[in-house]
Amino acid sequence: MPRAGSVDERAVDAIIREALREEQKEPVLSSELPDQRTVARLGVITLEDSSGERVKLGSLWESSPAALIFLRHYG
Amino acid sequence: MFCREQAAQLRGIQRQCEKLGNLAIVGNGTAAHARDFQETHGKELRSLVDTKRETYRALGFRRGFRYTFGAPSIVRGTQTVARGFVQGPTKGDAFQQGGTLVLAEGGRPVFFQRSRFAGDHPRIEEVLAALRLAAGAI
Repeated sequence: MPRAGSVDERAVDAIIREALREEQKEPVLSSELPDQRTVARLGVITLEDSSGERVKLGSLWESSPAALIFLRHYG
Repeated sequence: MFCREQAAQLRGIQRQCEKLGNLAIVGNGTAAHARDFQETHGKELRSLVDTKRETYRALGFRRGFRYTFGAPSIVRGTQTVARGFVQGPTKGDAFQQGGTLVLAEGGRPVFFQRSRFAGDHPRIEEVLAALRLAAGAI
């Protein structure tokens, strides 16, 4: 039994699983690893960092591993 | 609010990640939105802005009203609010979903997740474990 004001995380996960089952008409969303063509396409994209400098995305994994977290929006 | 929670979680593993490789957040919106987020929530996280959402398209991330306002997002939102994160004004594409990509040196992907709905993120421990794997530290 969750404490008052807290959220039962297992219950939330169960509700989400059920809601997703109801959406099964949706095409299956694969999280298979991107292929090399996709990585190459990604690598040449240039983005601005917070100081205004342009960064070629591929430079992040050129000489070290990289974790990229894509946010929804800044809200 | 989901991105605020993500940023807070990432700040918690930032030092460990930096010993293993690069960690960056990518957002959509304007450069001004990105700078504002960086100052308020991103702090020392490396932040990049994709104003044209090119990377989102390249990786096939979902976009749509129902992925933002469907039941799973609303339920997940209750958890996020309970953890103390509130929704701010939308700064960017409200219907764009995100994801996570971890690559080894040279660009071999080792972990990939596309958000099925707003607030659908991998556990932060998974991200750190994937970066360890990418660095050959596992």
